Amino acid sequence: MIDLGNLPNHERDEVTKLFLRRHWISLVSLGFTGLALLCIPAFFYATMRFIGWNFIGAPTLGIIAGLLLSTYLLLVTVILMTQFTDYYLDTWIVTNCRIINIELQGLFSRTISELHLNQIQDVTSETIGMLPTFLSYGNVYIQTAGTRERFNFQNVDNPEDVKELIIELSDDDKRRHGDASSDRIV
Amino acid sequence: MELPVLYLLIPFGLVILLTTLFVMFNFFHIAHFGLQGTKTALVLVGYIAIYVCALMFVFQILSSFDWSQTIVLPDLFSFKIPLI
Repeated sequence: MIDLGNLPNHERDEVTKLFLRRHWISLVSLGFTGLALLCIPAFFYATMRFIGWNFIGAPTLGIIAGLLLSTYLLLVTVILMTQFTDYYLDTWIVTNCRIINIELQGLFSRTISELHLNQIQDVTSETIGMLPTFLSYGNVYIQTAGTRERFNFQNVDNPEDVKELIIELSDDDKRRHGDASSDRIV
Repeated sequence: MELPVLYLLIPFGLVILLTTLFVMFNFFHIAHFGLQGTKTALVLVGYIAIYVCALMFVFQILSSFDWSQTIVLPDLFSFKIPLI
């Protein structure tokens, strides 16, 4: 398990400042998807009853329908659980020294990337749409020097505050360790 | 040609095995890579509880059928569905 007080490759005097996950609205959306998927068999059964087919009462077809329904319910449960795992394990940790991005890509692939705060060139926050504006969530993009892929915090709570804090921590780190965000060779 | 209905439980057993395996993978991932704390422990307990509930619900559905029947294949494909 990950211990915020003792992160992998823990540096001296390193303190965790932020622990981020996607906004809770992602969970609400997952809940609605689950509810919709669970309603499909009930809707199908109601339609069959409406047109006058009692396939549940048919000796063999009833059993096959029962098995198909059971298989469907188990698969939906597992898919929802996997989606929740993806939500729960996709995290961003901001310390006073670095940013750690932990991302689960499917069940068998996990990426952990790390970025030192003194490498940060630019931080951008973005809130697009009505719901993100009301609920105050959005994306934060962190650009580093050179061709390195930028860090994306997707759908995090209060992106403006996150951006401000990262800029502040980055400035502090550059003062302590020197600026490594420039491509220029001096 | 007649087949005992009970044979249909063999592929279903494989489905249960597969889903259990996936739930275990998810459980392992959260237990191994999750954040240390009560929240993660609660999530793990919730995982087990939800899956056990789903299994119990499924077993309840299946126990309502008469599994001593046999399938007569030509009858199965004649689609005689009783009307309400």
